[in-house]
Amino acid sequence: MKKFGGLIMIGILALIIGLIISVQISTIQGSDQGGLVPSVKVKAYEQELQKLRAQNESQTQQLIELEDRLENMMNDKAAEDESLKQIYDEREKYKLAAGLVEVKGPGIVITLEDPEPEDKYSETYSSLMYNYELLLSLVNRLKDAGAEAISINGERIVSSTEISLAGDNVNINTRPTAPPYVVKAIGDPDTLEGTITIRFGIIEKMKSDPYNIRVDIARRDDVVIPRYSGTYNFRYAKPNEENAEGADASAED
Amino acid sequence: MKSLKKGTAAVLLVALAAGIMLSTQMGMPTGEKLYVSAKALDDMKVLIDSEKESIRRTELQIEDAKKQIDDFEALSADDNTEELIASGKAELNYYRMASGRVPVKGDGVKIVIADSERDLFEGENVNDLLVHDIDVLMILNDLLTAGAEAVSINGHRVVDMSAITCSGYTIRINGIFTANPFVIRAIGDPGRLYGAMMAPGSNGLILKEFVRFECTVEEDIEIPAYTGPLSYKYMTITKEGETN
Repeated sequence: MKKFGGLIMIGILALIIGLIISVQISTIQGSDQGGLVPSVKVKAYEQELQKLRAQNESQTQQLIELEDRLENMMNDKAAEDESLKQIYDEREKYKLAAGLVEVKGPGIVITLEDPEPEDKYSETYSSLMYNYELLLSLVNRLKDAGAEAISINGERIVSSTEISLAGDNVNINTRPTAPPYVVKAIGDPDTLEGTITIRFGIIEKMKSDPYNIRVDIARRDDVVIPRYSGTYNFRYAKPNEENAEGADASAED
Repeated sequence: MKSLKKGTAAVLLVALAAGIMLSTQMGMPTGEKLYVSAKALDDMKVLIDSEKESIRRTELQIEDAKKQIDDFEALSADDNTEELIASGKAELNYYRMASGRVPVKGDGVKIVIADSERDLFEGENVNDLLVHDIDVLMILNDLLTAGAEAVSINGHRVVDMSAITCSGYTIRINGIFTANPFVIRAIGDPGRLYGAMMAPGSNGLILKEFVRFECTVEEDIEIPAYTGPLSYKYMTITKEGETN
């Protein structure tokens, strides 16, 4: 019997070590379900996000410098040649109309947040994302009120902008977004705010049952709206100008 | 006998040390815990993905800008004004096209949405049989998601700031009143566009249960240019570097 004493001891120890390891591993790996999560994990996400944001910022800065350089070069050339100057001036106008330039002006900033979660079930559910037609409606109302430029979470609304529910995400301009949503619009602040806040209007609908979205509207003198960062692709649509020269000329008057 | 006990004691010690080491190692990152909902974690991951996508796009734009500078330098070094004008015009045309100021033609789909002509069921709400702005907005949104390149509604080009409002018999698009029904034309991959409209569970099919909804694939659809003004009252271009 005494011969087995050591073996039993080792067996018990192995069992304890095994238990310790498995307990530890399960607390580390099970964290993606939410609930009690090691703060280090959350911090790692936050750090990654910060790093990416900084990278994004520095890249944008680089892009702006490059474009500045190009513009200066173009302006220098245009100063020498009148017809070139005309083309470049026109180009700027249409670029602005295509939403490819950052703009600023008076307007409103609307912040939309999901309701405070009431229970464990509702906290995984985003009222805003699953009812993205509210966003569509809101944007449509702002356009109707004469908005000249609109963005949602930094994505410029252009002619090809979609707001689509893809799996668990809402994509805008094919870029995934998450609440809170910040909708910016440039235009006459009174008209913009008035149009969306009328009785039984879109904001009232968002605030009421069953959506209970938290809404904050602020007027600003200098709303800055970024440019569209995607590209326009025309693979099927071809210019059809022969019969429309006249129409186009009248548009430029 | 004595040597066996010594052995056991040694094993016990080593195992204990190993156990303590392991547990301190693995216990390190769990030190502090936060209560975070699954949604908050998900949202954070989405933001990370979104930021990555944004970086990818900016990279493309940087490439593009570099190429433009190179091209421009090459052309202006030769003092080739004609070439400069030609490339300037090509760019101008791209921006005109992008801003919806060029009439276009191509394959796509034609959609007709109209108020239903059937009688009301008993107790049915009359609103169910009428077309509302949100119905058209959803269809338009689905078309854009499916990659529509140009869209017109009742003959009016849909551009970035086109609003669609529907009140009673009239529909207002780009500020111009037109009459029911809605005729939407979209240029893009006909298969994808048609699929987006008529796939099971699509907004199109849901709409079809209540109102008149038709979608047909058509060739050489013509969509007019947007003829609104190019001037703006409120917004101005931010001079580069001014932000933040």
